[in-house]
Amino acid sequence: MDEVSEATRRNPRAVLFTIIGALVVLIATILYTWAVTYKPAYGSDRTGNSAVQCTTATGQMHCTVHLQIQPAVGVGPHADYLGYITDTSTPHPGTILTLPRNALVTVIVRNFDSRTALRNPFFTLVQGTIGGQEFVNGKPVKVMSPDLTSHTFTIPDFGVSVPMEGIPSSGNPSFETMKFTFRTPNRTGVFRWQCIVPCGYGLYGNGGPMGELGYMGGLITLT
Amino acid sequence: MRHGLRIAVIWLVVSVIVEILIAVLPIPLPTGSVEAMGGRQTMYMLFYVGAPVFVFVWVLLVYNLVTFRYRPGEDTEPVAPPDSTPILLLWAGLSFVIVLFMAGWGTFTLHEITEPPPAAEAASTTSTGTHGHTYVASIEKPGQALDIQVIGQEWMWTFRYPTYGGMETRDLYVPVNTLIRLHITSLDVVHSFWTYDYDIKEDAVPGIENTAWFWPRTLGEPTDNGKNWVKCNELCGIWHGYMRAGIHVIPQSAFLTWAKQQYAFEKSSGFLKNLPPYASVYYPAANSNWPTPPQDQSP
Repeated sequence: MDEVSEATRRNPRAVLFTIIGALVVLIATILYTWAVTYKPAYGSDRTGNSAVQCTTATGQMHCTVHLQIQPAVGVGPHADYLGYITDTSTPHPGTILTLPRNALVTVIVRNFDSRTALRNPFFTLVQGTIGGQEFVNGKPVKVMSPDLTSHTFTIPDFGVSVPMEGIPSSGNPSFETMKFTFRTPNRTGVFRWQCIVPCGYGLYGNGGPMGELGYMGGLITLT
Repeated sequence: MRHGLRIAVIWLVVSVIVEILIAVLPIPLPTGSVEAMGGRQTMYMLFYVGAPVFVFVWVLLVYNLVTFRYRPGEDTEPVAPPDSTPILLLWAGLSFVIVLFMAGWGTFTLHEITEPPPAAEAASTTSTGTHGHTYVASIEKPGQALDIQVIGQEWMWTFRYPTYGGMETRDLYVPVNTLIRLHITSLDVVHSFWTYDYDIKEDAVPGIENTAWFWPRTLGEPTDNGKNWVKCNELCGIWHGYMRAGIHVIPQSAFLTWAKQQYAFEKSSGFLKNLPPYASVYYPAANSNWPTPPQDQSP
């Protein structure tokens, strides 16, 4: 201790540097804490709950979620990314949803994107929905042809995975409508969901919209 | 010598207490498979052998700190005792023997739990395997291991059963008391197949087939608190932490029923014909940037 005081007395700049160093550390800590606490991931500040409507009939909670898949979402920091958005007049990212537990949830997706082959054709199988099926433009489908797939809506922890049919290359019709119903588990928590088709950027197609919250993957909070 | 005797007595007493604690306390090590039991046995060996060494170091340190601490009025510098060749030799020799023993044990156990059983053993229905267990893997083909393919992709696992027409499932179903041979590969980046409860960890690498063996010895179903899950153990992207699949270890008869039902469903629904033919690795056409498959270099 004596040696340190001696050195400080001999070199006043040491005091200055110590104070500057301490200030840098303090400011960095404050900035980091602020960023972690208040800087939300894209989409988490604009949840897709405007797309969720719930009713209780005969004691059974039943929610309907309207979503779109757009080749370019048109909003947010990466407007050119493709992604799920809400099917409302003011589009929001449609990937961060709050749903009731032990409820029936009907999801209606209008897909405006073209067809992409699945990397793993396992996901042509409709899984975890009521009746093990989805309705594509009103027609029931249990297994989708790999030639028609575009994206999926997959919630691994619920056992739900539903393939989305893409529009034909002619562009007519301009969208396909998928409708399916599943039951949320009877517990609370935060669960992830994603599109399992590597439809983003990068060597394996899992970058960009696949690797950022708010586009082709999101969270479901059960309350 | 008085100090030496005291240290020896303290060391002996504390060591015995610690060894008893190791034997009595519940140490949470996995027990789900024969391989996990091998790892568990090795961990206990390390505890038992390491405890006296650990205790000796701490007893020596604390004893010396307390006994030879500075007392008021002591002005002279302490004089270190001269080096003792016998003590040095004992110390070095004992360390050598202990380390060599543990290395030998570890190598042997690693070989035992990761290498496939000899073909002769696996082909015979009654022979006793390397683990001292009788291989009765009579699932369809008596005496042979059940092959299951593990496919990793961002960010889910799927499993294919080549003996059941290459059917694919999202959870891993295995029969208990059966030799399982896993063929692990990936469709994109490097993942790692890891099950804590059955003590298997093997990288899933695109374009590579890695093999792992295990013999589940207890029934088990995935639970909310994390038991019986396959987890990805190689950081692979945004949902790496959620990349998991359940393991269902079920009785052999239940497995046969499940597999036949699953196969019948996948075949009748038309789903099975969507899947590519079973192969050791896959080069999906959906990935335009995928490296071209290596040419066969065999003569």
